[in-house]
Amino acid sequence: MKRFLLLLLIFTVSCASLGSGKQQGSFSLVSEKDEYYIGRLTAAKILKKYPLLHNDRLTEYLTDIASYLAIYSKRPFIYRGYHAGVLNTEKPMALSTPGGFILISKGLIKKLDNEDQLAAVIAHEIGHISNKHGLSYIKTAYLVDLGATLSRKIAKRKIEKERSQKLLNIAVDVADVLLKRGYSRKQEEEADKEAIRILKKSGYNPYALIEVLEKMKKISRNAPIQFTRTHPIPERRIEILKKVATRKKPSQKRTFRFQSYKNML
Amino acid sequence: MFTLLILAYFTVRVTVERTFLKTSPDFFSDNVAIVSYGTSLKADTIIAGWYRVIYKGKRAYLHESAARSFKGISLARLSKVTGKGENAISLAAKGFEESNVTGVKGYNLKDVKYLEKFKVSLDNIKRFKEQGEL
Repeated sequence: MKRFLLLLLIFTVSCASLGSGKQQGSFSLVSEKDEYYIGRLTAAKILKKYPLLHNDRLTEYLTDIASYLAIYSKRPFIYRGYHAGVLNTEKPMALSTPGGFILISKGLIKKLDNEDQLAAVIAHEIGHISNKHGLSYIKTAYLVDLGATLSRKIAKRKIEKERSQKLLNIAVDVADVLLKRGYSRKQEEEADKEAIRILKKSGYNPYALIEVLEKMKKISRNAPIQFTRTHPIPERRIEILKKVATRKKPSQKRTFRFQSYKNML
Repeated sequence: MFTLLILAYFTVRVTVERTFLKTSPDFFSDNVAIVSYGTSLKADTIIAGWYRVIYKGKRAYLHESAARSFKGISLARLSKVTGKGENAISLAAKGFEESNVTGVKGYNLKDVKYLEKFKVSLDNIKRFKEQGEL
């Protein structure tokens, strides 16, 4: 009977997650706190492959941009706030994990011209976090693991160890998706849409997102790069964005600010 | 009339580690207090994405992304309704011990901790905004 109820629960939630396509489904069961710990381990997995550049001033700068932009997102507050850092690799890439970790490579920052373009990249990543895209890749594993934990009575210590192990497994799954496959086209478009909204409201140039995508398109023509795998560059995305993104001249002060940080790379 | 006023209230519970209660539904307004995870407050409405709550007898605002609402549930009943159930579905919150994963190969927690040491205050954000002409 217990097992039947458990299967019913899993089935019901799975159906809900497949249904509307809105931010419902299994990951609505994941609390803010769970999301943070899952994202933290996912980030740790990614950072094993691409370690950080330890530069306090640059990290502070990125974190300031992310925290400022987040105010204008759907989720200004997440469990432990937004964190942003620079990956110490020349590969142009940007990633975000559940729980608010935003990772941008120095290779990508070097290709940007101004702060508005950097803000556009970060706003796009916030779009993934606020739409809980990363969590959508853990639904099955999460539910199965959850079911297993609920249906057994084990010593507390053992449960803690098992949960930690499950978290590690989930982190592997999510990191794998982010590094190898990337988000789906629909999710990328959702993140773009959210990014434009954030950029408009925060005072940055919304058109900067198009500028970044066009840069990446140009680069990927010459040589396939990591960024194209994690962020596919379909013309379709640029076309859609051109209909909604307005142009705004980036301020000189911001451009100088960006250059002074870029020079640190 | 009195009964109707009581029914209009609902409970909200803070779901983030720490958050601010504000004087008005605006991120840049003054802070009333800092509340932490699990704090339950009485709310009567939502204004532009902010719950209007009562904190120590005074009106304050809490952003909806920082809390979960329990409409139709009083503060007194909330612990009975949630509590165990919430913990049961909480995979990481209860039972997660960093010692269980520290040192596990294939994870770079050192760099994660490096990122976590950077905290941004509201004053920082205000300064950043002004300096960048935003």
